[in-house]
Amino acid sequence: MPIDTFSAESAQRWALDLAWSLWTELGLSGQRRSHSKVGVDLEPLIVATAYLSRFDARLRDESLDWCVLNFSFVSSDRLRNFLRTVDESLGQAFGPYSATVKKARRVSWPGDGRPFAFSSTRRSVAPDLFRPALVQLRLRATFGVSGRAEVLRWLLDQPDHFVGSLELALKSHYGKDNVADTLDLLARAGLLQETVMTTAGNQRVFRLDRQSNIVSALIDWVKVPQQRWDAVFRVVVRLIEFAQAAPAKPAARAVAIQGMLLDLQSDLRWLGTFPRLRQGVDAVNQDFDRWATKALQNWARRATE
Amino acid sequence: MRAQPFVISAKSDNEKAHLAQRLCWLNDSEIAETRQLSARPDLMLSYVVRVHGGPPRIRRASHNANPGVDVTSSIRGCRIHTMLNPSLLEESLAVLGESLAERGLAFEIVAVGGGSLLLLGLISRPTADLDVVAFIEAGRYVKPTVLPVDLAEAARATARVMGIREDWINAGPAGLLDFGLPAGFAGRTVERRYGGLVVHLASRRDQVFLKLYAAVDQGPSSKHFQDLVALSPSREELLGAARWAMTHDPSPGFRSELLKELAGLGVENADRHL
Repeated sequence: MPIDTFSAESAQRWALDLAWSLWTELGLSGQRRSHSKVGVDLEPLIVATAYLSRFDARLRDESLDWCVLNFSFVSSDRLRNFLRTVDESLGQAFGPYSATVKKARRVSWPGDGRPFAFSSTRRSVAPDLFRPALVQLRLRATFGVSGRAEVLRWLLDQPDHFVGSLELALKSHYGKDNVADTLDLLARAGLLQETVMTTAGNQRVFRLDRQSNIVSALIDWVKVPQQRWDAVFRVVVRLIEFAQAAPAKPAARAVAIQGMLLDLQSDLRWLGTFPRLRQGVDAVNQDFDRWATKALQNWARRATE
Repeated sequence: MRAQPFVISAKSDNEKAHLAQRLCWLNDSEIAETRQLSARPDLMLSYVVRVHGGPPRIRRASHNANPGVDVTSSIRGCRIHTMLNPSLLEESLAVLGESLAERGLAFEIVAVGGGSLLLLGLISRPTADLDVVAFIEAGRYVKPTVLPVDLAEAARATARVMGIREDWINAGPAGLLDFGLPAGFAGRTVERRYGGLVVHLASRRDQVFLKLYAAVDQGPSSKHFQDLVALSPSREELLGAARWAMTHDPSPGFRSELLKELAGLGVENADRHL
């Protein structure tokens, strides 16, 4: 099966390329670094890797090795909150992966299962926090593994835009109350400007205050755009599952495609991509396959384009 | 060439033909007719637009390989949907039925109205939807207040595949079950199988009954009256339909309107026979 055709094999291949590239950025010994110009998001990557490693045992072993070595960078709360947004297949795959890390380290990761037989490969290294793609980890090293670091990451991504707590909660995978409290405190500390968005005055929005010396310094840290990897991985896994189990008959497949796209609408809107499908069974199948292949390729190769 | 109809759904009255012009670059002289279909519960208004000289081309939608309006376009929350002709309705049901079968799902519905008349070949006018009057569960007719989730989702996805409106299968006339269908209705239905979907189509005789009732309600300029004319009912059929319709609405006002409709259909002195 050619790699530029949408199939279970090609979808897995592109997804593995994506995961390997992001992990290589984090310090794994991968062959290709395609994502040095986009921010890595650790917890969605870990959860997606737990699923994808069924296709690549080495990815599982190497990433587990990294997690065991660098567990202090990982947010259990974010893992838990992200897992609430994913399909059952992802959640189930994460159980044994999480159990393996928990067996090696005292962490409160969510998920249960039988641990994998794991012994450290000793190839992992501590992540280089000065890599632009790893600004998330650098912020965590500075502000703690907390909602504060995540909120700042997303505010720094668009420093001149006012953003509300709901949007930041969605992006950061921390609770809305937690995010609202964080924004309040950061504003009181002089790092953020606040205004209201509606005439009713009930929609508080925030942005970084460039006058603050700390903010000026932090802005220099964020040299690459952040990506909604949570949305990407939800879509990628759904595409893999679809490619594996899509109905054989074209009409049923076309209906399944449209049903899936309705489910993925929100994530695809965040990612700024949505397939334009012509009408008719054959056209829907053809256009979707073309879009899915291109989307997977783009996510896997993102920073090289 | 016959005027080609299509449906425009818009959130306000201002959109309708204006939208058709914007989308299709039509001139006023090219538009033969705009007619409101129905006010949707979600405040969407649907209009049938007929255009002289064959199907209009949506020049903005060059992505679509098909000429004409076989495309769903979206501008400012408005959508254009292709009307259902017999082949499109058959194809849409086949696609829906196949997808239900693939998922191991099965439904039996009882259909009345324009869509079912199209499937029976009794009328040729395009229609917007297929009206479901009942589901069949364990051999019994059940009132479909809402479509089952699995069927509704599959129908919605099918609509997106085919470019037709998302509520193309709906339980609009389900209220008819409250007062009862014509006696022997179930035994006269015509069964069509589409994979996991079985459609029981109301017979021609029963459609006459239902259409007369609807035509009295909506008047001689309605599509129901036109459908009734197309069905060429006999005097006896119309009188039987009238007697049944009066069981649904025994009011003097309805009777008066009913007599007018019957007269319009060539049944004089109906009062003596009701």
